[in-house]
Amino acid sequence: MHAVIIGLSAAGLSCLDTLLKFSPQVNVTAISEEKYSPYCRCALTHYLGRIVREDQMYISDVAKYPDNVKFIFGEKVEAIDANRKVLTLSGGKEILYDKVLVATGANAIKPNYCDEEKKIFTLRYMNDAKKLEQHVKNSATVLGGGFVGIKAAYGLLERNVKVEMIVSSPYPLSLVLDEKTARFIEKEIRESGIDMRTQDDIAEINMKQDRVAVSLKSGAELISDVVVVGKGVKPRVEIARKAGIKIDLGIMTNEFLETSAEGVYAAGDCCETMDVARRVPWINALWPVAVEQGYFAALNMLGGNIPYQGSIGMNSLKTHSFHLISGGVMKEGSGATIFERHFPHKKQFRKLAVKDNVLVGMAFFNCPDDAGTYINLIKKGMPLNADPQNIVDDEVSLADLLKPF
Amino acid sequence: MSEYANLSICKDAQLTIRKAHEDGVETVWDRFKKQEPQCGYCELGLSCRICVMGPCRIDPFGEGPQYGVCGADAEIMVARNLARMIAAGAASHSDHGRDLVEVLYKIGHGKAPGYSIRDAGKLKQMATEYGIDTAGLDNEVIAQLLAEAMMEDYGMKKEKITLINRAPKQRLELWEKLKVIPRGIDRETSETMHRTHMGVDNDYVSILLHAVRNSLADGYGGSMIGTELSDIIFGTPQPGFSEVNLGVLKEDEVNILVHGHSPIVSEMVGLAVEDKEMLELAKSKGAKGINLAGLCCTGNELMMRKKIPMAGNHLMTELTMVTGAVEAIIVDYQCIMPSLGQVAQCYHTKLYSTSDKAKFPFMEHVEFTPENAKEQAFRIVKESVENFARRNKEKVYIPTSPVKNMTGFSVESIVGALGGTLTPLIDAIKAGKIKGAVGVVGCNNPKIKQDYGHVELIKRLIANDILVLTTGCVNVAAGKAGLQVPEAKELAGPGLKEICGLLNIPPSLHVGSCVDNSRILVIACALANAIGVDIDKLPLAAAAPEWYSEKAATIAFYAMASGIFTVLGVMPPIAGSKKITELATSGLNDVFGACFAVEPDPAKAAELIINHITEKRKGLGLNA
Amino acid sequence: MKVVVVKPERCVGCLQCRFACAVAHSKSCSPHAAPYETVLSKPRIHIGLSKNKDPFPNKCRHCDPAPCEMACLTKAIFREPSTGTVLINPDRCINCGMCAMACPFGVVRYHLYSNNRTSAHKCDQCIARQKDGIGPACVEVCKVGALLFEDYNKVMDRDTDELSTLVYKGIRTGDQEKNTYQSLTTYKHGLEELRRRQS
Repeated sequence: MHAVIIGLSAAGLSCLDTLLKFSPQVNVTAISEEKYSPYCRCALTHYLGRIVREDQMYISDVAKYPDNVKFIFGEKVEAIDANRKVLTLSGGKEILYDKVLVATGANAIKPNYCDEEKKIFTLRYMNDAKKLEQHVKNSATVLGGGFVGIKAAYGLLERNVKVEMIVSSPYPLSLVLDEKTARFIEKEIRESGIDMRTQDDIAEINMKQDRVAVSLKSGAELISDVVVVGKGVKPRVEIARKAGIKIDLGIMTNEFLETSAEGVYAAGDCCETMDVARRVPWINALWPVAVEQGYFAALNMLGGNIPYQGSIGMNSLKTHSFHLISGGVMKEGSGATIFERHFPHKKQFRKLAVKDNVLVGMAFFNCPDDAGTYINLIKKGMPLNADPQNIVDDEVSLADLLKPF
Repeated sequence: MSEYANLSICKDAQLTIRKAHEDGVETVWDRFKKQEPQCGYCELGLSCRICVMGPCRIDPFGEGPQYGVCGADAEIMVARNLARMIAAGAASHSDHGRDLVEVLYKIGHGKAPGYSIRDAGKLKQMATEYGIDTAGLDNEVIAQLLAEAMMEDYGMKKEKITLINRAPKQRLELWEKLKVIPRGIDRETSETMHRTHMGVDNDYVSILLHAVRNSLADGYGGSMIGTELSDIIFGTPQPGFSEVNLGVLKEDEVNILVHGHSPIVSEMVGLAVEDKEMLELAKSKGAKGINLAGLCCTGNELMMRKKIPMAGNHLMTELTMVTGAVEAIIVDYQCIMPSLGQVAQCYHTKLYSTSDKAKFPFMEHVEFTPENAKEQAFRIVKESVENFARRNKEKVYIPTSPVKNMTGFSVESIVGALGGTLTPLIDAIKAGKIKGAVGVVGCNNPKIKQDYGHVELIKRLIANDILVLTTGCVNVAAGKAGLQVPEAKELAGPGLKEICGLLNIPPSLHVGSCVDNSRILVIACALANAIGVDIDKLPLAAAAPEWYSEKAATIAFYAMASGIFTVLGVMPPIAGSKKITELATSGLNDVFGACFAVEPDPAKAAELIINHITEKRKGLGLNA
Repeated sequence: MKVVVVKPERCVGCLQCRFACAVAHSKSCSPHAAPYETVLSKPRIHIGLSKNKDPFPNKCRHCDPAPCEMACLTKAIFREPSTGTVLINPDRCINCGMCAMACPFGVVRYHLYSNNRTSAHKCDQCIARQKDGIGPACVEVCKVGALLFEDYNKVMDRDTDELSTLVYKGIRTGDQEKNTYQSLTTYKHGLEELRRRQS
């Protein structure tokens, strides 16, 4: 059996390791268009913040793989012929496969004002981080109030860079969190020394001498060394589309992570799977989700027929002063019943969203100890075994949750 | 054998533990192993069961609760626990003293057959010390008056207990300033229990200072009264020879052991075993005679006065029965393990409890009072002699031969040996022939290889010309190691060797039982008064290398409070409070002129003591 | 494979396991010295409290696959092959908090390590002690048998034997008239009752 993996980030690497775990002799070819050894892009902001060195970013020692694994770096897959089961690389080389995993991930969305000449960067690849490093001196503007924007801001703050965030919504993380929780985060960000302007957006960007001048719709002008743009990601589905594979939000997959083309699997940011909390197909472009999908894709590529239960959105935002863990659907208007409790003297806030006795969303601010339990309950979609008010009141332990029905 | 060699340095112990295992008998060492690892919170003193808002514990690693339910922090918790230990120890010693006061009183009223005044001279001296004019009075009357005066020491009629005045005046002034002069023996114990009740004393320094006061009420109160009255009633010990270890048990005689603390019971048993009719009875049962031997402190009392041999110390008590040669063990109170009854089930030994304060599983209770003691003693001894018939001669295993032990070194006999005054001793200290003196005292504890801590420490001290005084279980340890015979001078340094040779005494002197630690206090006070300095300036130290009991904690406290540096071989439960640990190991120096050290390794403990003594010598202007 | 098996119904909440765990992971490994080290050791087993005040020992189960290992961004979490233990390398940990988010059992904490960085922290099955041939500290110190270190299959076999003894005892003593074992809890209480009667 010859398995081919396109893309060596979270999903691709996880698929590779899992294939070898369950079938150590399997022939694998792993193709990455980047020249870097596999690395974790989520740690790029830590790299910027000089918390992590470049060599610590690399998460896999390519040399340690056995001979039955072949690596191809710096080459792009141009086309997949799902009928003949052949891939074509950019140089024209053809590779035959039995099973192939498309783990091409996503690209950062570049709004039309993005221009590296004007020192406006997205932050998705190692190269982006290196360029940012070159140009940033002591000030930066961050566009976008999502997780990437916030983490980039904290990373730059760690480098003693003066950071100003521009958020188009009334509060950060507005796509993921409800207002109440988001306001806690907003307060923390402002108190950390990062400036934030909400309900504002770019009008135009110009260069002033060596620096970038951002003119906002509100009329203000911000001058800084660099601009970092975190305005979301777009799945890279081109080779799948060209191959005639069905695309919706991303590459469509069944519960075995197989696409509409037989023998072609997809995992990670490029594909869509069932979102357990939303109960619709969705892309949750998150590192641990991609890792898990790569794992299940590998099991199924080996003929395991093991269904993947689906993903949920989830994130952990940890800084020197706070730790937010959130997951599922927290936004208002989802029809869920909300349970919340604020412990001001402990600076803790616990919030759950429950629908039909099933947990669909959670946000725990500064109480990470049991957060994982509830994230996993949302992922499982199982009915709650304890009163959600007791849970947010912090009166419930695993002892109560593990009780039989 | 190596596993047994790890438990004890004594051959008799090693061999009988092995036999105990073969016989299917569980020993204290087995039960200790099952308890390990022991509770970390309790080891650090960070658990509290004083009230039922608890039980509480404090997490020394900062995650769990930092306060008990009542709000007690680590300092308060540790201090309260420690104070209660002191109270229990003081209560034990003082109750022992109280029983002797009762006997003295009854002797005075003619209601204690079998008991008499053996040292009338001391009776008159003590009475005078208590402010009683003895001119023209009969001994019985003096006895009554002295007993009544001592009863007042126990109560709340006085501003300070009488014998505290034996301390040098500088020490008394220091104690006055610190408000630790004991007012009444029972009063201080009672007040400790009050102070440590939830919501009373919540300042750890205040609690501990009162605990010091409580301990002084023991050292210069209950214990000292116990010692002095035992001397008056049973005779002041004079030097002589006896024997120690399991080998004192005789294969061809009825073996009766006394265990516990009070000579009130053991002396009467001693009378009974010498009775001619009793001996005849024994012979009729096929025994050549009746052999009385002692265990623990009551054994120490009998050995000091009547040169009765000792079969063992604390950890040996179960093993005596394993020899299969013991017809009876008669106990009163303190340090008697409740396991004895279990062990006796496997052998023919009969066990008797004699005090209504101390009843045990599988023991026949025969209540002793001063009125009926003699009669009860005779009854028990007769039964024990008859029990000889049940001995299984094939299974008798007395694994060693006894070791000679010199004993009887009361203050009076030491002074007597020196020619009537302490001057020769002081001169020897000044000249550096004897560098100083150390009381090596205390018990056994399965946490330390039995007797290893005692013997190794004593060997090193005497090798450095330091005179050693032993009490309690240490006497048996030192005796078994051959350190308490004049020949042991060969193991001493040159100066000490010379003095021992001159006086024909061993370098390690058996001074008595645990209440007889008051004899060491008396010597310390006398030396201090003679030289004209406070006790903390003297080249003295104390060590309890293998202590286990609350009584030992109290003794350590009163030794420190008297100005004597005390080294403990076992950690007390105080490490949970940094402040108290620092206070105990160095801060107390600034308060009492002495502090504690914890050092389980006897070699290191010896170094600490030797350095301390050298420093004190320098302080007095003496060469090292 | 030997694992630590937890029997929560036996736990009495004495917290000795936490104490022993902290001491076993300290520099000095001594109960008297460990609380005074500059970087305080922290326990890796947690006792939860149920609504009925029942204590519940909770520690890392060293899952396979391990959600924390999957979530770790820098591969600081890895599996040690010979024992199957999931370990955290504090030097690679970037304190991102993803492992706590991923752990279904809530056993990950964050503490200061001796390399002066705050990193993720969880049970390591006392791997250092295992290399010396002794078992985990929490198991050693538990007096009520709530924590056992045994081959998992042997534990399950033993539980099966225990269960069958009690079930048949129940049948023979005529308890079959009662509506047997509606739920696991009733069943558990029934087991306890039979056990009591048996002894």
